[in-house]
Amino acid sequence: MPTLVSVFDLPDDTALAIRKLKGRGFDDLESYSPAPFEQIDDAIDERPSKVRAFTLVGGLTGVFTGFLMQIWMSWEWPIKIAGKNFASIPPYVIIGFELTILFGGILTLIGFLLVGRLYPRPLDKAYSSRFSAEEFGIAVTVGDRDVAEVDALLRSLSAKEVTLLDD
Amino acid sequence: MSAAGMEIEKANPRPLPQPLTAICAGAAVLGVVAFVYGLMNDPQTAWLAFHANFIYFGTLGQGGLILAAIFCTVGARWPGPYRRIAEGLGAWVPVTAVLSVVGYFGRHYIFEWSREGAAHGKAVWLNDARVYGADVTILVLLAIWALIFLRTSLRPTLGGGSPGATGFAKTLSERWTSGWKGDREERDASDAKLGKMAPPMILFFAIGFSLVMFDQVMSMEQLWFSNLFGAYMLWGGIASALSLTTVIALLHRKSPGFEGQITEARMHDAGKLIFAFAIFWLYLFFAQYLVIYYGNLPEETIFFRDRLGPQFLIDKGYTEAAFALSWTDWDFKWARLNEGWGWMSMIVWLCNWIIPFWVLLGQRPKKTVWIAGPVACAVVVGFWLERNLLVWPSVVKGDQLAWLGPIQIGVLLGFAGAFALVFLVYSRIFPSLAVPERS
Amino acid sequence: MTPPPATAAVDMMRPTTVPQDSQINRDVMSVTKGVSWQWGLLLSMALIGVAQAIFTLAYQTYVGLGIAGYQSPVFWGVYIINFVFWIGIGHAGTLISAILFLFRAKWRNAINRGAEAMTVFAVLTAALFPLIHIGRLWKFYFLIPYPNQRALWVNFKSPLLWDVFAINTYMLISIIFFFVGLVPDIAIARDRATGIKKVAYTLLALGWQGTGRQWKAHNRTVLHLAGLATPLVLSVHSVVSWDFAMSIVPGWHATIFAPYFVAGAIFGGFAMVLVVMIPVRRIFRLEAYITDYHFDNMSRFILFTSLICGYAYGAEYFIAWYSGVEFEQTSFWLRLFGPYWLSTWFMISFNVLFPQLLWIKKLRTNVPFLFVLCVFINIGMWFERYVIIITSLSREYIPAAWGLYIPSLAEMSILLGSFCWFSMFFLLFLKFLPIIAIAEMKELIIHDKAHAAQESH
Repeated sequence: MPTLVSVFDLPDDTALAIRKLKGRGFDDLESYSPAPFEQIDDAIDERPSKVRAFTLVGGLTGVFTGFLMQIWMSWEWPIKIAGKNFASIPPYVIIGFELTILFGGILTLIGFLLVGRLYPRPLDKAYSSRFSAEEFGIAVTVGDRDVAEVDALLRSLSAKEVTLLDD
Repeated sequence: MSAAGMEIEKANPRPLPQPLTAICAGAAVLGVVAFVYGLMNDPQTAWLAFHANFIYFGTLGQGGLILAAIFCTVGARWPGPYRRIAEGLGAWVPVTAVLSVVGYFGRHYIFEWSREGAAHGKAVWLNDARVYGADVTILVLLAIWALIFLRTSLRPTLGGGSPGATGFAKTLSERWTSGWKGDREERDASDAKLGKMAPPMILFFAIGFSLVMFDQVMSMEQLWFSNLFGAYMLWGGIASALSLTTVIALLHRKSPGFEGQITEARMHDAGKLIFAFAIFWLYLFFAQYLVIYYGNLPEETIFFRDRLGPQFLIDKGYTEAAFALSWTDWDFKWARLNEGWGWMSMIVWLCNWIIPFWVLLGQRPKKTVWIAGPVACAVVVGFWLERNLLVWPSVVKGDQLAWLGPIQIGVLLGFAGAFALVFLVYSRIFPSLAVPERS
Repeated sequence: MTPPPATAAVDMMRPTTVPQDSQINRDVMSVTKGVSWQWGLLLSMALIGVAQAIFTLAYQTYVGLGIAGYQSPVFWGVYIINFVFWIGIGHAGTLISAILFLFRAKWRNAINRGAEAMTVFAVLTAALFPLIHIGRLWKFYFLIPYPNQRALWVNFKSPLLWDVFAINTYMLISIIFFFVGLVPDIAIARDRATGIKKVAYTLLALGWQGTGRQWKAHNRTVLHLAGLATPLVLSVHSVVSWDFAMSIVPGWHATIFAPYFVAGAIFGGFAMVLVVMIPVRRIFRLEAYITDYHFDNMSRFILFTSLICGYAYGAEYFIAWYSGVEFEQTSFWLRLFGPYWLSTWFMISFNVLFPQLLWIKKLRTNVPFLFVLCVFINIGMWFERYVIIITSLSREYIPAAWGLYIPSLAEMSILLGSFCWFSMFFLLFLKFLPIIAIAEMKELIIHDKAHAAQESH
């Protein structure tokens, strides 16, 4: 299946092209942009990123780990300190809080790596260093007979250039 | 930041809404009656109720003005009408100055040091002349500053002498707009002036109001001291003002001129701020509480013992039993909440932290009128209870419902009615609630 | 496979213009290119400084903590001061990248990368001091709760243990934050590097291509990390302050300590950001990115935090007097007029009085003035910790617990070493990673470009 790589200058044009392509049923596409632009990201995928579930799970795990660890350890090795109960809640708030943040942060990072599919791997053929300069790109995989149509469509949507990657 | 593309706001004078205005006026009159009745039958209760409401509405009104000043200082672009509403709360600031003079006549009922003399060595600071002299001066200065600030802020909205205004309002807005230079010029001039005026005003507020709070609230328990207390009270004022601003904004979302102004984006931003302010409020509370909990010094724990009760202190009160319990049992006993003002403290935590934090955690609730609105109401009520919780137990120990009663409710109605009336008059006739003009 | 129609094929083979790399990529990446002799000299000096501190530390470990200025009753000295100082420096980065991000303050963009890097390095510096301070380095693992043969657990009621958790959490979260922000910029470096550098950048960039899905995940991650880091940054210096405030030492036992330490930390951290970024901007010609606009806003922020410090000093002194507690009163009297009066006056003038000059608009954008002021602020903040720790410890309740503390040569050697350690990291950072958050700046640049295109239509 051939892949068409088109290059754009402006984020709005890119987002519009993605929406038009999707509207015509070309769903197998990927965008490349040098900076975050919500309109492009939303055109690719409307739903909010799944990273948020990771943070929530991490935070909850952290708060329970923090408090249960302290309470259990204080009961396991009971010492009376400065008149406080063994499991004395006010001081334990602090480590409970720190672990909430710690676990939440680590899980957020893991979520980022998983959701963004980030691990050392070969780059897409369609990707080039111009997309880490100031240009935007769309790579769309189309059937052989649609190439001309998509090419014309992209050009009409102010694509600077369109290249064909064949494989 | 006076962004070039910003809309020009126009004053939006309208008649006072009926029967709301009449109800507010009625409540205010009822409050005066209840207060007078209280003075004759139970002056202690009447004065404490007066004092608690004086503190609550004082910090609320001043907090609103400071919130608006903060928006000006940091050049926040999101608030739009929220800033005007927050300014509207500031119309109460001059009233606070007047009420502080009224409080002078109840000083024997409010302050132990005034009734029985100050504790050893404290008479230099805690005496009638010094306390009321300094506090009234500070509040009057703040009131003058507030009026200048409001006038500067209002001026660009009154272009063309505020068409539709009548009588007094018309004369006033004509006088305030003398030497009119044109909409855009006036707006930029006003922004520039406010940008210069706001930072020193916030600074003076922080220092002056802290002193007033030390004098008016902290000294009720004259042995107790906490150097964070001033900042804690100020923050409460700003946080409650933000919540009330949000409530008023949501109520106005269909008013003429405001259609389409209380947008989802604005609600989202206001919701985020309520959320963040609640966290910071709890942080300030915890910073005070933990230090005192750990120090376990009697002159410091006394304040928390009267409020949170012994449950939240190291020394639980009945030492033998507590010590025995600590070996085998859980630290927490519901029954201990009956001591001090334990249950009231729980309700305050619920309203001021648990509800805003847990409900507004997600994005959706912040943007939903029927969730964000009630949460903001809970915070407004929560801070009223919190101010009562700070005032009453210094005098009335152990009776958790001392803030509740016919006189107290009457006085609250009076204050709330008067506050609402001031806001209505200021926002409708004056008119402070300018609306962005559409081109 | 059917070939595409001829017309389109011809069209596609049309030679395209050679794509220009963007200006900001070249400007910022040029910082990492090449090694000047000045850089080499600075790095050598830093390494020598670190080496002499390691020697001191080794010697101290051999002969014992006696060579530090510790003597009864003062057993928390310069090491603890340095710890608090460096943790404080480490607060500006998170403030800029998390809190100002949440408040959508655009002026953070040009400086946030440098500040985040500083945060990481400052925390790495600070984390050494508890180790140096305990003397017996190899016993450090006692602080970690893990199942052990002695069947005992750590004391969770001790503020010193809270520190262990707070500092380590802060270190990890700031590294994560720093790294997540860097990934798109490392990809920029990867696309332009060759040889061994390319391999390293490729590994670190984790296959970043700026796809819609990746940016979406990135934005969400940054938002959540900012949401987590904001309360964290409040808690870290609060916990540090509670190392002192939980005791009943006069001058330490104060409710205002937590917010006051946080404000002080941000104040000192911001000053350090300016001290570091002003020379970097000058040497590497980054004037186009770090402008008067940034300096003006940074100065306003410094002024604001300075006022909070001033407020806290005032509240402390006033309440100490008002409390009627003789020990508190004496403690604060001794700060001003006791044996350490000079450090107190340094602290008040450098932290509160001098920064008031920033009310003047012209001075807020006067770069040399800002540099000098910020150096003084850093000195002032170091002395603030000196005042808090030393004056209180050297005059406790009974005359038997009175003494005089004088910093020793060993402590000065390690203080010098800590600055060199921090500089070493920063100098290396300059040569390997982009000092300005390129992707974030590009967002603004492209936004302006789009705006201009719209106007011309």
